[in-house]
Amino acid sequence: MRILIVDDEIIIRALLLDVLKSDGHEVDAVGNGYDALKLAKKNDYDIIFSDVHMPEMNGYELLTQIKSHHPQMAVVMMDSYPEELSERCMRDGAFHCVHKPFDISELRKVIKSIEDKKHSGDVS
Amino acid sequence: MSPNKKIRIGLRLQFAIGAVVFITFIVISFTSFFVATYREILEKKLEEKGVALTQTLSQNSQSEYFLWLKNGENLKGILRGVVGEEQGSGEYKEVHDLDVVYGAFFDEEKRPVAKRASRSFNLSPVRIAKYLDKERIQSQIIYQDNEKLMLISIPVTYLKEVSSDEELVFEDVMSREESSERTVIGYAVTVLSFQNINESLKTIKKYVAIFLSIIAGVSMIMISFMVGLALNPIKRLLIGIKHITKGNYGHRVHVTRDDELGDLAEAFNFMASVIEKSNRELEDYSRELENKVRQRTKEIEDMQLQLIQAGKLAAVGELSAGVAHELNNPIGGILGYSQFIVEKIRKNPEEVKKNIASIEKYLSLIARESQRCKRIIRNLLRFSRASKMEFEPTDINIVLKESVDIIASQLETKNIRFEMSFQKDLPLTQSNANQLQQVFTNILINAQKAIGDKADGSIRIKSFLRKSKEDEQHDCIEVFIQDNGCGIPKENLSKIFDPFFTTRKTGEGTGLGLSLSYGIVKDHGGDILVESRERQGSTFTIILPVIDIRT
Ligand SMILES: Nc1ncnc2c1ncn2[C@@H]1O[C@H](COP(=O)(O)OP(=O)(O)OP(=O)(O)O)[C@@H](O)[C@H]1O
Ligand SMILES: [Mg+2]
Repeated sequence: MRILIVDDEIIIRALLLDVLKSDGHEVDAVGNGYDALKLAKKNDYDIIFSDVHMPEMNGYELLTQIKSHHPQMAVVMMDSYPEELSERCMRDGAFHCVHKPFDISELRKVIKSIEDKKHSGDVS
Repeated sequence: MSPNKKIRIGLRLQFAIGAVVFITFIVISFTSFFVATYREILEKKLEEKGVALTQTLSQNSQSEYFLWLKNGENLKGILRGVVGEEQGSGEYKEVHDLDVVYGAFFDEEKRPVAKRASRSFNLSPVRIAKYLDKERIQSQIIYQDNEKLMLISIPVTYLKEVSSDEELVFEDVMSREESSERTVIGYAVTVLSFQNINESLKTIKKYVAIFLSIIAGVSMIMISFMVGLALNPIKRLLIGIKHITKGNYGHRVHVTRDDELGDLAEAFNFMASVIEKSNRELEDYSRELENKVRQRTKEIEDMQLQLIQAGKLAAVGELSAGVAHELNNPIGGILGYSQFIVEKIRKNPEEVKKNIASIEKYLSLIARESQRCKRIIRNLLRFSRASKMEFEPTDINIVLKESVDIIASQLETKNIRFEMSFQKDLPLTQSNANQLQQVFTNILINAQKAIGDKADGSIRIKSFLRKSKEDEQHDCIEVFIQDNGCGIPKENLSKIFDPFFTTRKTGEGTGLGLSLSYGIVKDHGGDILVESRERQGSTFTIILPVIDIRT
């Protein structure tokens, strides 16, 4: 799977890169929404993991941009505010919400379900 | 009494001088009247005496008519009995009346026949002759060398019968005697001096002068004594007024007089009692006021404490979201990497052994992120710890740095550039680091909010040691926190330190941040100043006196 990671936190980017690459995915990571949009235009990602709290362009904005330009990409939001996050993310078309701090098994589950959906032809 | 050097003429002296002038005037006018009257009487007496003397001369000479014929030689004898000796001869000097200075006989034709003077007498006979009158006794005031003299002349007559058996020389005279007529045969003249009168008047004047001085002296003493008596209560009143002026309101004057001064004293005492009473009321009132102020101050202090707590809670609330976010990232990292390592070890321990370097990398990342969590938690604890007002030697730069760390790591400050220039080797100062951190974070949070989403946001943080100019004053540490955010409208500048003043949306700000900060800085003996321009930014200056480290 082709995965893009968007987070201003280096440690999160590093962790996701290490874990997902070792799982055999093709992973890119960027620190902000603009870079993410640029890459999303270039590469056809299956999943975008995005943080909500980011400078300049936050996760919600990125989500709406991605959904309007690349609706086929599954966006998974990550943040520390569970209630707020779930509500808004689902409304705006996110595939799933992950609450920080997360277990890596939880990430794998999400990726798996996206993979399954993709094979059955139903994404988003 | 009065500080100026002008000579004061007191009431007492004024009265005494007035009295003396008055008495002197009375006595002088009385004396001059008395002396004038007395002089008149004396002069009358002198005249009478002169006339009597002259008459004696005249009669003596008239009974010895023949003397006239001997060309005055014998008449001189008669004169000798009346007029004293001339100066120098001294023969009869004492027995004769000293008033008579001159005696003379003139004949019918007003020519001198005989004369005698008691002292130098230079009035010419021709001049004297002018005053002689055949008909009557003449008494005339004349002057010789400005000396006042009295001239008395009496015509000497001869009676025919009396000298009938005498030999007559003049036919004419004889015929007149036959007709029983008195015939004027000459003139008896005396001149009297006023000298004695003047002398005795002089003596009188002298005595009067002495008498006057005594009277004046005595009356002066008496009057000043009496005025003194009258002034005494006034003096006591004066002393009383001084007491009252000094605040000794209990003072009373004791004047037991049944006159205006007594009334005055009574009025004074009444006034003093009124003042004493109202003063006591005033004192009571001010004491009450003081108590009230103390009570209020305590209330305000209590409230301030509560505000500090409330403000802290607000700041904690403000930060909690950021804190959660910020803590969750490193924890996420730690959790993820540790799960990842465990996974790897379980799946393929051999490969892990081969690739131990990557495991080491993951573990060091875990360690680093744990450190980060520790720091965040420590800051958070410091911030929220129940603040005891404990002052300890503090490096303001460190407190500033930590505050900036908290803000930078926990708020959305990615668009904000922090420019820090801290003065090196700042002296430690007695302060409460927790509280100062609250101040700095509050101001930094405000700055961050003022900048908001604006691009090119910057917050400049500067510390600076200002040496005091005078030795007594403390050196001061000045901390500048400058943002280029929205700025504060002029009309709000005076309100931003008020508790609960906020321009934020409901729920987003309590308006306690700055009021709390202000209270804290004041507790440190410092001050907060603000400068701001709308749309250009604000500068908050925190001034903290450097208080020496306690031993
Ligand atoms: N740096 C700044 N730039 C512009 N406005 C400011 C700045 N600092 C404070 N203010 C104004 O002053 C007001 C009062 O600030 P204060 O910190 O006391 O309360 P608050 O920030 O509104 O609420 P709280 O701090 O309790 O969350 C703010 O609402 C804001 O309008
Ligand atoms: Mg504030």
